[in-house]
Amino acid sequence: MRGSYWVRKLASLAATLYATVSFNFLLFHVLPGNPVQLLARSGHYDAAARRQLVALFELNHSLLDQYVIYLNNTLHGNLGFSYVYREPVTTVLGSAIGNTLLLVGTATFITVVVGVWLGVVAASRANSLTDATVSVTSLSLWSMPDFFTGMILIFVCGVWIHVLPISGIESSGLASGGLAHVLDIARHLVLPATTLVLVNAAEFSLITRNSLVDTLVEDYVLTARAKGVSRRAIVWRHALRNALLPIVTATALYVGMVLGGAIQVETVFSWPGMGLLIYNAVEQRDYPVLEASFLIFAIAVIVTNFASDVLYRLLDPRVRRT
Amino acid sequence: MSLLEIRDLRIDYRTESGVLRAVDDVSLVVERGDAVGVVGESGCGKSTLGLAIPLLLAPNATVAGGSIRLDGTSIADLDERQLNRLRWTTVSFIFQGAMNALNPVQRIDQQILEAIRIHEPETSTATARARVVELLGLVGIAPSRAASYPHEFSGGMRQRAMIAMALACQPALVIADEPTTALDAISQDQILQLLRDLRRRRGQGLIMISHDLAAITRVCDRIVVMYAGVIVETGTTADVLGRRDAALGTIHPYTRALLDAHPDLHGPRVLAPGLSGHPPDLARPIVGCRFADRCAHATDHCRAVAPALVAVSRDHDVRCHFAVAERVT
Repeated sequence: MRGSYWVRKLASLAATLYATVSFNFLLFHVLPGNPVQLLARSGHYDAAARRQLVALFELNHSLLDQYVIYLNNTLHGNLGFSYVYREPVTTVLGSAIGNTLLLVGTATFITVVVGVWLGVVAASRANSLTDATVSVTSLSLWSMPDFFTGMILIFVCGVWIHVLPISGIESSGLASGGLAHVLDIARHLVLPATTLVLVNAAEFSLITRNSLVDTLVEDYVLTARAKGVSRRAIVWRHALRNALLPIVTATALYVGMVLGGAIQVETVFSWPGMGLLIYNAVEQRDYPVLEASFLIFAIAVIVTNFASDVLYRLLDPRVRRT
Repeated sequence: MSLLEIRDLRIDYRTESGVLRAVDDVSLVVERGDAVGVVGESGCGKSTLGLAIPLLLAPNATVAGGSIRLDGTSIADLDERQLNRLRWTTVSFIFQGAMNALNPVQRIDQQILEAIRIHEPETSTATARARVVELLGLVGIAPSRAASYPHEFSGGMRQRAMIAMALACQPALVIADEPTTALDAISQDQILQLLRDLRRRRGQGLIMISHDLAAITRVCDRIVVMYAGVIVETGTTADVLGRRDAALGTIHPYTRALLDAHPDLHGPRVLAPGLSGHPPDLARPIVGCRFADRCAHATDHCRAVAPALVAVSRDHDVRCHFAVAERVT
């Protein structure tokens, strides 16, 4: 029973990934317009050069053959050739993925911790001034676009009080690998990460608050009170674990949101990650890079959903046996 | 000194439709080893009464008057920390384990262990674990099932686990709030049997709260009948049941209705008559007898003057004008 669950789960993961890869192919190959047309628009290309480009992008095959070639290449980690950077896409993506992981990973961790903590504080004092303040503040911040919050932070911290770097990932002239270098990156990380936290923490504080308020009136919470469990322990030990279930689901959905947010934030702060790469690729019509980036974002969302399913099973014993 | 002494207790709920007095002038004494049953319809204040004893009332409920003394200590004088120390060690609860009273994401043994850990931090883990196994054995749950989650148990087993948990810190008083509700007939029977055995063997005081008078009579030796926040009849089980065939006058018409709601297995085959109507709205002032609107015997006097709780015999009180009338004439 337990084994078959994982077989089913992994099979559905594989099927989802396959469908995503295929859709990604369709998006770029079936929709009108192709890189050759775009490149040749300037008129500097003669017929021979065009043929060469067509061959380079393997557009001289039938759609089905292109699809098979695409699948084969993707499976072998060959994501194409960027004609802006004139390098394999994998090379272009290499450092960008790491930088985005650093930014989004840090921001997500802080967002979840701060959001859940604020939610607990609000729920423990439900309908108080603290509760209202947390709700109103997080809702206001949530309703702001990422780039706008980012620009305000740049204005305040970079222009008014010059405390933090507002652009890039590192200062020039530092030897890489040293402690000074790490601290320098951390300083560059503060503003873009803060932007993502400010905008997204509401999702967690509001869900935690509402879920916890609902949980705190459950019968087993009364049992815990009757047992003489302290208020603190009731919230953290008895109620929160039950209340966390919707938060796990929210985290999976959040990853999709934060990747979208990362495009804006990385652009605003010139953070050399996937988001900035996508922004530049759109501007320069660097199709292979876009195609690969979409695929990576999609895979990230799918894998996170899978991870949240696994986490859900760990948190809720009732799901384990089904 | 009595184990529990409740005097003239009043409990109010603040609601959207105004202040609602859920418990009105209730007095109740429970001695060590007593088993008292509190019976009444939903909303009559019986659960509120139970929860008030270690002050577990909902945030919108307040004790508006009267006193509760546990072992001589007035609980109104205790702060939250002292109350937490008293909870489960002096008064524990058997809630509806079959429903949601056990935490769904914690193992049964851990939930029982927690009670021991909180109140006896000096007890070693090994000793505490051994006690958990022993407690579960007492209610007929094998040690191999101790590490289960609530959803892995049947309703009856969950209720038995709840009973084991209630006994974890050897409380002097156990309050069983609807311990058989939502269980099938066979499980109900097992639980009632268990409550009876435990009471006999361990000598704990027991308050059993239920809407099921028949269940209460099987376990308790004293019965308190509540209606719309007040006690309408109280006496020994023998007294209250013994009047079953007596003419109206030594039994409250509401108790009569509760008894009649249970058809007699050996009697003639008749449809249980039941009781029509609803209890009065407690958020509005009530004039006269609270039961008058549903009582077949009600007179204008009943509707105008509220009856007092009067003794009809030693240890048997009834709140009914007719009860007084019979005694006087």
